[in-house]
Amino acid sequence: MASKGKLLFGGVALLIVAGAAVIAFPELTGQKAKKPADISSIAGGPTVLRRLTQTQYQHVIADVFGNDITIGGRFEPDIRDSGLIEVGAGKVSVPASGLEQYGKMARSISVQVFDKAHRDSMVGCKPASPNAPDDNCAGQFVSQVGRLLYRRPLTQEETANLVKGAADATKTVGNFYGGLQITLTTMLQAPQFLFNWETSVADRSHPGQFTLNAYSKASRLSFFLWNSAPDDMLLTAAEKGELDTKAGFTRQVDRMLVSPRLEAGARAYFADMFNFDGFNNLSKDPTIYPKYSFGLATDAQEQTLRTVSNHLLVKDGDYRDLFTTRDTFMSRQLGAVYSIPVPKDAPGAMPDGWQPYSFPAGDPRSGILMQVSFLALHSHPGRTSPTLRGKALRETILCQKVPDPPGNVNFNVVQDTKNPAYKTVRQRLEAHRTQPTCTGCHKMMDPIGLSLENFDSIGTYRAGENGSAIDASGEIDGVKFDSAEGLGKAIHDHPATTACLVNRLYAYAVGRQPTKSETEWLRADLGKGFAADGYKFKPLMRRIAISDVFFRVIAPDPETRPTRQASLQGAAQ
Amino acid sequence: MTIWRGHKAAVAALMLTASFTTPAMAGQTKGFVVSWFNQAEYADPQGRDCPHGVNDGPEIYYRKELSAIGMSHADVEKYINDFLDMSKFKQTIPIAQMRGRINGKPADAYAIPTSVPDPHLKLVEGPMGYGFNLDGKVGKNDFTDPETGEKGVKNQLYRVIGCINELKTHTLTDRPPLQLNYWNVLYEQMPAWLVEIDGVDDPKNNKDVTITITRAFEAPSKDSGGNVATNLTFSSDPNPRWHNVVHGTMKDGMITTDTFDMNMLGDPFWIQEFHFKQAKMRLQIDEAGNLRGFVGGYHAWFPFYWQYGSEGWGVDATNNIDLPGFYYALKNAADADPDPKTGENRMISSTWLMEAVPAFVTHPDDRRAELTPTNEGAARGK
Amino acid sequence: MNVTQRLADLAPNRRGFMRGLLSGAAVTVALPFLDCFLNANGTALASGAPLPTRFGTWFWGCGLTPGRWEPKQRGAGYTMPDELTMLSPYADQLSIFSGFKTFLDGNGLTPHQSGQRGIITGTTGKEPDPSIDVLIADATGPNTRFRSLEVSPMGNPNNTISRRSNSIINAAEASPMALYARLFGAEFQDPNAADFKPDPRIMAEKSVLSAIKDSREKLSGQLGAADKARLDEYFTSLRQIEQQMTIELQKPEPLAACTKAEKPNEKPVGTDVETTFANHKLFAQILAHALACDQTRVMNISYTDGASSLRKVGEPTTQHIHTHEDPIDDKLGYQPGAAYFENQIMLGFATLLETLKSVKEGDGTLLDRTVVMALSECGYAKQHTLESIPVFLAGGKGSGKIKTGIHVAAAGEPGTRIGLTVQQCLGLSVNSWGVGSMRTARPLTELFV
Repeated sequence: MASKGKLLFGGVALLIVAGAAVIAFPELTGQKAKKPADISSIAGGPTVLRRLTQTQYQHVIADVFGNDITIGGRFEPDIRDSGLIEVGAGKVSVPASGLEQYGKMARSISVQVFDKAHRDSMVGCKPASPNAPDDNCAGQFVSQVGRLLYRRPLTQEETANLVKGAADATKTVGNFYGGLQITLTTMLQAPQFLFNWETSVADRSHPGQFTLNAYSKASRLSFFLWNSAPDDMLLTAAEKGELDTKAGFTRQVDRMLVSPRLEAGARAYFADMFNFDGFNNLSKDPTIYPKYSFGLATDAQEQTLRTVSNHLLVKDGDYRDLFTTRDTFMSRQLGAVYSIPVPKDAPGAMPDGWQPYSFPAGDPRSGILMQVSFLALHSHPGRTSPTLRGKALRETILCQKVPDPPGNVNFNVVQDTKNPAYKTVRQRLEAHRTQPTCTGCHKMMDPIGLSLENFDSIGTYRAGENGSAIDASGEIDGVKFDSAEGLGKAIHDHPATTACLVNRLYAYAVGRQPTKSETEWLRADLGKGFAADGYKFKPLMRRIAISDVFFRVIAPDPETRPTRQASLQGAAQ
Repeated sequence: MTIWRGHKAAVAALMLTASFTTPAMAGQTKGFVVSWFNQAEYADPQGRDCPHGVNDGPEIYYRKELSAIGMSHADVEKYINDFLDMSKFKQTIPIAQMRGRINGKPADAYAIPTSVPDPHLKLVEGPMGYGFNLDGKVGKNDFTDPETGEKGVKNQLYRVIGCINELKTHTLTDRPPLQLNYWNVLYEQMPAWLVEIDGVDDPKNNKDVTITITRAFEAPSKDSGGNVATNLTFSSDPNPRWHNVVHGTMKDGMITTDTFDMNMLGDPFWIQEFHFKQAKMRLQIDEAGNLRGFVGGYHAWFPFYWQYGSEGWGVDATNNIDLPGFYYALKNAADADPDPKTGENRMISSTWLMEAVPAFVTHPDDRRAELTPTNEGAARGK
Repeated sequence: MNVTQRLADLAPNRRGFMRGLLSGAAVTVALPFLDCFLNANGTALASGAPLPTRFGTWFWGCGLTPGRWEPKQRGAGYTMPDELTMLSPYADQLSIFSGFKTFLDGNGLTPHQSGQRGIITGTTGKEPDPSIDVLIADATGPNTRFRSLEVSPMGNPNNTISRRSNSIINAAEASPMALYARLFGAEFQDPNAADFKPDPRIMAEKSVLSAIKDSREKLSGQLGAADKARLDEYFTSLRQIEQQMTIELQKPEPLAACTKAEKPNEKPVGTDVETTFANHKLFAQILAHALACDQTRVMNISYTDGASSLRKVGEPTTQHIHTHEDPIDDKLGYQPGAAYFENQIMLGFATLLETLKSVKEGDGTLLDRTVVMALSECGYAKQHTLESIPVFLAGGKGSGKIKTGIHVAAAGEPGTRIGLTVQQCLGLSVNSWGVGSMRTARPLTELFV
């Protein structure tokens, strides 16, 4: 057990840490913007090799082979880093078990591509003989498909290798399409497909600086705006050198921004930002919350993403209004949780069962924070957690990191052993607010979550808990409110809300944390622009995509002394 | 457009009014989806219902019936042994199935149950049984309702099934086993039954209420806890065949209705269609907003036989119901609608336990969204 | 749907003909008694090499109750403590390590993770080294079809402690069905099949896949150091896949009793005590089969997540919350709510040992040749302490490599001493292990044979 001396030190250290935590992100607590830096002096960041995320993989396959191709196999879990899976994608590799699964998926896709129904449309040529190699036809297929799968034309060496492989495989299995099928299986496991490559070249318009090559630009743009591989038009633009001129890539950006495929990109961004992958492993106790099921979770995510997409893309709305809007969409299953009727024939009802719904004025619910997705995702299986909800709001909406608790926190002090039964969560968390070792961090989280206590662990409204009325008052960074609606308004007005979106969207687009100089530029330049645009989302995407900074990269760091990591790699081989 | 605005206004009105009234009671239509509808049976705690015990199992009635058609003692014993043997029972099926005799020739005992002599099943003899006095008379054969004390209750169907082990309840609150199994299997495929109650302004007493029972376009569903999901939205089928409206009165929380005919669509593996005549209903809404009550009325008895008779040996042997006996018992217990030629009654009195949970009921065809008070609305009032 | 047919099919189960169907009966995977790879005496492989020794890790979150799991006596022949009574049948194979801890060395504490990370990888820093199972698998398992197998009875692929680096984390199988399909699907070569025909599809694939390596140089050239390291890891994985295919193309040694196990039924996944226990049991059975048939020699089981989400059905409080909120019972002197879950977890561990013990191998059992390192991530969950984190070593008595049944009591020593000892016992040439205060060059010699 920790000695008292240790405890005091730990307690003091915590307060210092906690204090520091609030100061540590000045750019996110709304300090006045400094003068915008000269954009050409902003160094870019390093290129990042990013593993395709699960949705990106699925989109690429659908784009190249069609929506009817099913993918059989289990995806390697994506890892979140700095609040985004897209940043984590630049930190992971492929374990053997993961490659095994990619192999299974590759096999399942190839089998379908080469079945009788698909074969002829997928392979644009016929072999001279069905049972013998045909390098011409194989080469044609490999080049065409490879360009789309690898997001760039194959090198001569790559093509030659694959054509030889196809010929060998054809001889082994005895037929041309079988050999080509195995070649496709291999291409779908190759690092050129599984990873998003960024190649830097000298920037002719800025001597001494580097920029992404044309194909890397195409990939960065299309994964950012559409969450998928570049389409043929974009690849062709890259090939023709159009992406190397500002006018050229602006034209492509504008094309992509008006495409219906923008919705997929926006959804992918917000699903990442809101940590919706957490639903995959969320469980609720079926006895306490019988209305919860994976189907409800799917509808809940869809509700929020539809709300966001409709508000930001269709209505071109102010981003901040997402936290106060009463307009959303309902499905029949959600209606049962929100306790509202969802008539089949309501105006605007769609064949897929979704229909627009607006909470009436005065309804306790408003904003996406009071939708089932946020409320259910950040709760325990059997009860709510104001701490989890507060932490989630800080980290996902305001981009603020809450420090981990230190070791050896003495919870003995916390427990009132005489009266352990508290009626409401607010009462149970009393200690979080009064014990010095706890308040430092918990005051950042609990008052936010406590104002959401009218919504249980799956988001159903409740007026009271265990017979006591729920007090929904709370506070965030000095702004007090007496209801969850007030929380929504406070988030609307909080400077960190919009700053967070700018930073996080940029990090998502480049696949890494912004560098120091980029961060300055994001606050001063993009942040101001975002405000000037009325906090609209599409203009923000455009500003990022056409900025001079977006494609700027620094030269890859030279080969350093092998790290312990690398030497262990060597040992393992 | 007008409707939607009206709907919105109505929703808004609902939210506002609900916040100022006592829970779930202010003059709005209440919607429910039926979660249970099966025969109402009374397992008498004093054991008066089946004083001679329950009906025999197949080991006994097969023995009797096969001997009666002339099977030798040795053959009957072999038959019973094979029947009880997991690896051999299949070969006994045709023998049981064809144990009927018409002019000495084998006949299917399930398709033609009268080809087997009446084994005289034991019937319920106790005085208590759920239901209503459907014909206004109090006769010797009648029951007294255990909850209301009403005398002259007609429930001949209960009389027939109440001493058959797999068809009877064994405690005051359990479900009859075979009916429960059918219900669980079929529930999420059958059309949902919807109940709407109009005119409940006061929680305890209302002079005039209207109860509407219709079927839904959607099937009901169960939630993750295995119970019927609440607060889902259903659309009511306007088809007049399954549209039942009856007037009632609520006194001290109990709704009782006038006499009415009730027609509802069932399921081919259960009762394909329900057609109750001269029916009555009583209902109560509990604190949680759930509905419980009874529907009693006369109904053709043959479908009750055919539900099991069409399954044949599977029900006979594995659920220990002597099906020919069941046929005879129903036929003899039938108490209404005599056939003009034969004089035999074609309908039997019956009572059914109905339970329902809150749901939103909408009426797509007449473009009117029915709103029903919700737990959320009620909770906001607190 | 033909109800008659269904009734007839179920006639053998006369009573409750449909009841069992809907509630889902418990399913066990029938395991044959296995004598894989054995020579005539059953004491060695047919090729003459000694029977392999396997290694496994078994992780659970939220520790145990201090004072209730540490034996009073040191050395062999200790009395089994209160919280571990269900492990009594395996006392002679169970070594208990008390007083070993994880040092943070200034690194931040990630609650319910740092404690385990220090013991399993030797460091709590930002760049953890490979976990011990990866080191052992690399050294002992290059010839098995799978380098290692990871499972999560709670059904979450992120519940894993096995990693090669920050960018290679070995995700866990979430479903026994999926593990079964992976092991005994189309690629499983039945050792007792009359004729063996290498699958041409695998041959062709292996050949084309190998050619991916040809582009390695060119691809690496454009990368920075960190990205290059991750690309190298990809190629390491590629090599393992090639090895897997090589094995799938070889005729396996005839195995007297190695038959394909029965396919398990898909079970619900959940974090409640019963579901976790049931899925763990299924996993244990499949893994035992995998070990005995030398499909792998290393397994990793994460019984719970770090901040154990175990709970009772119908109750809102997880074990983790119990550890923080339960008052200490005046009479008992500890938190009974937390102790209940610790009990359940130890029962789960006992099930693993029971399963391994039930498989006869050579002149002993599979448990005799499997060393399982069971560990948690904290000493006292209520306070997130890293002192005296429970660690056990179970099994391996018949391997001839390690002494078992010993209580080793330390006073604040790094838990890496245990990992170092295990590595040395299993024949890895390693003199020291760990970083900073977790670095040690002193194995626990009392475990040496």
